[in-house]
Amino acid sequence: MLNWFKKEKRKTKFDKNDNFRQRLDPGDPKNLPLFNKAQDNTDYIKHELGNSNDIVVRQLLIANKIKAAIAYTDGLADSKVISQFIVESAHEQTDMPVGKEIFQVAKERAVALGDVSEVTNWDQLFPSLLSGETIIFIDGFQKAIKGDTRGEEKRAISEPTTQLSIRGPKDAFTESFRTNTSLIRRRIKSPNLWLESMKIGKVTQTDVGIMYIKGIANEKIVEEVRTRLKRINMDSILESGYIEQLIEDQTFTVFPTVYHTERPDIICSHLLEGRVAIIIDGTPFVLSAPAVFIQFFHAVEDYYDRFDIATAIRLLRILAFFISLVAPAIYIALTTFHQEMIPTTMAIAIAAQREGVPFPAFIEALIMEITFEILREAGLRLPRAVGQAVSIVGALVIGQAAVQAGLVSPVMVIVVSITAIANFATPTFAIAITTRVMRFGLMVLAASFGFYGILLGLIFMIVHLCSLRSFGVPYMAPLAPFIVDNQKDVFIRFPLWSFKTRPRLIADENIKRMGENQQPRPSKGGNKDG
Amino acid sequence: MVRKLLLVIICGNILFLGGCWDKTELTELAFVMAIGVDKAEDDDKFEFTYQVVIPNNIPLGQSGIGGEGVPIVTFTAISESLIEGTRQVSETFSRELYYAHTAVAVFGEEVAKSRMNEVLDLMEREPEFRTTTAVLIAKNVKAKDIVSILTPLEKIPAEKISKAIKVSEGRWGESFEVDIDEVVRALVSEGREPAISGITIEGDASSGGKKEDLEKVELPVYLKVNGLAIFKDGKFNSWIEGKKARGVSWVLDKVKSTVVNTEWEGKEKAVNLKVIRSNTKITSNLNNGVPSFHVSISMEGTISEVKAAVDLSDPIVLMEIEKALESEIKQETLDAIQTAQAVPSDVFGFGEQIHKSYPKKWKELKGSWEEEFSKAKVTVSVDVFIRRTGSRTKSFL
Amino acid sequence: MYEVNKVKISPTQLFVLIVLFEMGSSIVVSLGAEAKQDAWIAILFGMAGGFGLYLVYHRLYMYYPDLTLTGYSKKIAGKLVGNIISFLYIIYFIYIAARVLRDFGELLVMTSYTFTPLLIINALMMLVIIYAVYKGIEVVARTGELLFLVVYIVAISGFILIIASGLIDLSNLKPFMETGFVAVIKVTLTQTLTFPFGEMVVFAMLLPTLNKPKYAKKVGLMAILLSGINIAITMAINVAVLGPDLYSRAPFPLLTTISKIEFAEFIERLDVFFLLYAVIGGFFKIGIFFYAAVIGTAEVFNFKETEKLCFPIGIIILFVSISIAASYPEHIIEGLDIVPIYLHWPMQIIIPILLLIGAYLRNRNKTSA
Repeated sequence: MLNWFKKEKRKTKFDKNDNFRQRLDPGDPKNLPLFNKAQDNTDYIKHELGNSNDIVVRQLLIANKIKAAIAYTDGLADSKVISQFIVESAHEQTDMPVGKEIFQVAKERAVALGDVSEVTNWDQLFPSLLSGETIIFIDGFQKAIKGDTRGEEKRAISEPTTQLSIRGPKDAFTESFRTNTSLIRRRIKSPNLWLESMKIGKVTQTDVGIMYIKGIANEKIVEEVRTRLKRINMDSILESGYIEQLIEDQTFTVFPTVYHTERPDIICSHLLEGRVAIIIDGTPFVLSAPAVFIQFFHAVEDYYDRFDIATAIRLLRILAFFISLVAPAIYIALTTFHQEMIPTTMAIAIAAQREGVPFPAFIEALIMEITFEILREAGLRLPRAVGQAVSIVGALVIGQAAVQAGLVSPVMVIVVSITAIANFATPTFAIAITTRVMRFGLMVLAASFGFYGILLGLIFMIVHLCSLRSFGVPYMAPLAPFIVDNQKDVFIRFPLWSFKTRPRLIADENIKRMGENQQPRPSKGGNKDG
Repeated sequence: MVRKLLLVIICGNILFLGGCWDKTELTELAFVMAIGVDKAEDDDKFEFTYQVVIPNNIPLGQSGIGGEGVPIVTFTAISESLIEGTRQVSETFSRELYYAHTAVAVFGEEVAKSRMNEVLDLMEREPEFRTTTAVLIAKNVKAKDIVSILTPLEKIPAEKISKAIKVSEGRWGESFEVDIDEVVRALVSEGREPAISGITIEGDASSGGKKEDLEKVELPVYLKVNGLAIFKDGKFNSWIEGKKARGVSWVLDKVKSTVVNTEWEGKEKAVNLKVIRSNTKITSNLNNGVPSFHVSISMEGTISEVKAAVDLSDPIVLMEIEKALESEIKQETLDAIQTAQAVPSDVFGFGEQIHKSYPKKWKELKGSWEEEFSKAKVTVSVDVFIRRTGSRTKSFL
Repeated sequence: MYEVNKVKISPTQLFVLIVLFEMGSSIVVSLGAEAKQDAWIAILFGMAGGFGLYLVYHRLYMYYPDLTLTGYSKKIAGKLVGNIISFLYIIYFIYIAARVLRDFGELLVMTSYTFTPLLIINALMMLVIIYAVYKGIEVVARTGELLFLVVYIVAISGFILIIASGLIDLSNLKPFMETGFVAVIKVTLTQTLTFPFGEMVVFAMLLPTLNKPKYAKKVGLMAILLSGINIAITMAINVAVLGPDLYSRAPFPLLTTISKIEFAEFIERLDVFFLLYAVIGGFFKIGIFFYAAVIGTAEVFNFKETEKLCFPIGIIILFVSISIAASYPEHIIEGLDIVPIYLHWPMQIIIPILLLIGAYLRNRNKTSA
């Protein structure tokens, strides 16, 4: 009741003001100037923000005579900074001039903050206020001072949770935009590392930054990213996934055409190859574009380990991809269509195991695969403590009970396990999940047409992959179109010193990466006695 | 969008409706491991015996899924053709006979003498048959008995047979594996006749199907690869056995490893050489239109057994041993060639040799090749190289 | 997007497409079987003829670098006659695509899909091809680059396995030229020249999409050389493994050869290798004929949206492939006796040479006038 009265009262108060009614109309452009009186301004803020109590408004006197008011968002702004550098500093002012100079002096002296600027209309004011800046109104001026007091609660930089590595930096991006840009800047101290920022999302007003290295990144791609981002006209951007889905080249594909990661070292290496990074406030996942298919199989450690080991592991990973893609399909094809291809002893062994199983091989495989996917999904969403229980139940149910009950054959369990483990070996989650989806399609094809179905399915997949583009770059580059120079970092990772050029389709002009003669060799004058 | 979706649905339907035409579960198949072909009492018909494996009775791994019972079962059908026989068996058997894993096809002598090629045609034509299936001739027994016998070690008797031939080929050289393709190729070719290894039963053939027999230390009945069946005009003619059979192997370059021996200072089989590598080359010549052949065999080996006092550390003695062995092998080979010429049956493919080297002359010769073959002059030269003498030089004898 | 409007393929892609196209179905069947063990010689002779034919197509391309076969036949022979020629070519491409599809379907039905209707096997294949052609020649070319690697890796490992299994008996290739030179030439003219080398006429439709025209000659000849040698080697291996008699009796000798591989007691029964090769080869051969038919139709009937033609023409090819012959032997007899003489010769050799003469005369007139 009391609140209602207060509201009513304020309304009548604003009614006195000339422009007020108009401003309250919904859909009215807000780029209207501020009020003259500090009190009015703060009241208006309170009113506009629905009296939210995290908006703090405080009246104060500068040098004990000039009426002023400050407004900030509690939690986003650092209240210590405000009390120390705005409130105290305002009180401590002794000789304030009079007249029009007040504002200028207040801005330059009274507010002891790093980043200080002026705001003249509401349209600028609200976003600043809501991102943690403090607004200082001074009686008699239709403008306000905006000081950067941002100090929101943020998560400390921690280890990455999705792409782990044994060797390599252990920091990961956080939800804070500024932290993320700083993590990149700390690694690339070049004036050519440019950051363009914009706010996307009509309601959320999310900070989005495009980062690229001027002179290395292909201008056309940067422009393409810029226009695609500007095209977005949505109410909200809550995660990088929103942006990804709105800027990718083709929606109807299971393959990711934009790369995302929470590792700053990956983003830096991408930037240095000429790619563009897109940083979104509020998520630890930073996007990078253009992305090509093979890139999703490269783990960051490939570049930190020596090349021979890295190559072996990379080939293993690609093998794992194929296994996780086709293993159940091949099992189905072999046992229901091409029994002649199984070596005799194995064929008889499998036949013996399948003897009591009530389902056809396809159904058996489908049941097991789906059960496994459910288990995985269940384990993912559950609290960690319960997750353990799920895996125990899963292992017992699938591994033991089902086999002992004769519902599935032991071979099938082996196939499912190999598939699952191979799937875990994929370094990026985006492509691992794609494999999981496609696996089922291939299983259906295998159950209907055996190897012929699998082969056609794979060719279809390859045609589809070849038809994809990521920001104009063919998705299968540098395999198709085949670029000889760039084969050094596809299946086999050549020694680092041989990476003389950047990926040709991505970094368009500035291709040269290093000086001549980078191959290490023992120095001629070295100590040879040893 | 909607149209694309429709297309996807149509395609999906084709797929799902399309499935299952050629689909067969493993448990719907009866793996035929071996086929025996005999001549039936009724003159026009064959007697087919199918050895089918029972997967459940083959013990697997440590858990021992499957276990007791006989690992195979045999079915017999009397019919005009293999397909007809398959159909007959299906009537009594709940599963479809599946030939892709058939390891051996055993033909009885009677069939080999008359209509073997009729069965082979089907085996070659039917894609389900592997052309790598081994072909054998049952010697002195019915093919049916061979197929029905149980064996120790190998759970599936057919596997035992095919391994036995491989071992025999690899270690003794008296018989060798011939697959369907090779038999057909030799049957079709005008300048070659097939030579097929024989298999026989030692012991009482009628008791081969009992499981108890396998539990005895000394087997009362077992299979034995033995002899080579020689064909004439595509029909079985006679057997070549023992060393002569190895002679055929020498000429055909089928010997991988074997043991040859020679007498020494009056003692028979005194020195044994384990052959580890052997190579045969045949060259042909035309002298005034008469074909002649030269077979040159070279081999390397290690002395494996000595029964007399021989000083193996002396190179001169080694050379003498080499000489003795050479003449031994030469005799073996010449014996084999003479036996074949007596038939006459060109199991060595000398005719093909002429065909390849003298295609024009071959056109004249091929009409009367059998005669020409029986008259052809064949010379043999053997080179033996003793490389090592085992882990002792001088014998303690 | 900032890509060029008009589709373009690079010389590498053209090279890969030609090689895959040439090897497509020819490696699968027993090519030049009448020459028995001399099949490989007939293939090399055919390849030499193929060079000549390619030079004819290339010369025509040089006269009209922006036009396809259907385009310049109108310029050379006048609108009416040109349109008739173009129309004949479209039908020819559709028919040959259908033939290849049939070959391919028969192969599958014969080897492992005994009970599956031919229509379904072919339809499935055609769906994938339609999808690829719908996406355009660029996508087909890129797919080609990728699968080229796959094909070669498979081929080389297969080759090593065949040698390692000790299957090769080179004496099977003797006697050399048994049937005589004339017989080999006869096989060359009736078979190996027109199939697969003469089928290069389809690239007269594709050459204008090349982004660097000056490479057309070199790339084309190199690709024919490589594919010719590959086919000859494959056939020689087939004969060496199977012997000339079995080679000429087996409808798919390569399959028989591969099925004989037995290595280390475990690597055997590799029929799927063959299937893999056949599917990839068939995909490109049919795909390229199909694409040529699509752009030819678009050009003759002034159709703007080329990709919309893919579905109807694809369906036509599918049904033609089913209805051209009642049985496999009939299909093969047509392929060996009728098609080379009455179809391949006029379409691959006679008409292009006539067009070249016409182009020469027209251009001479132009320059003199």
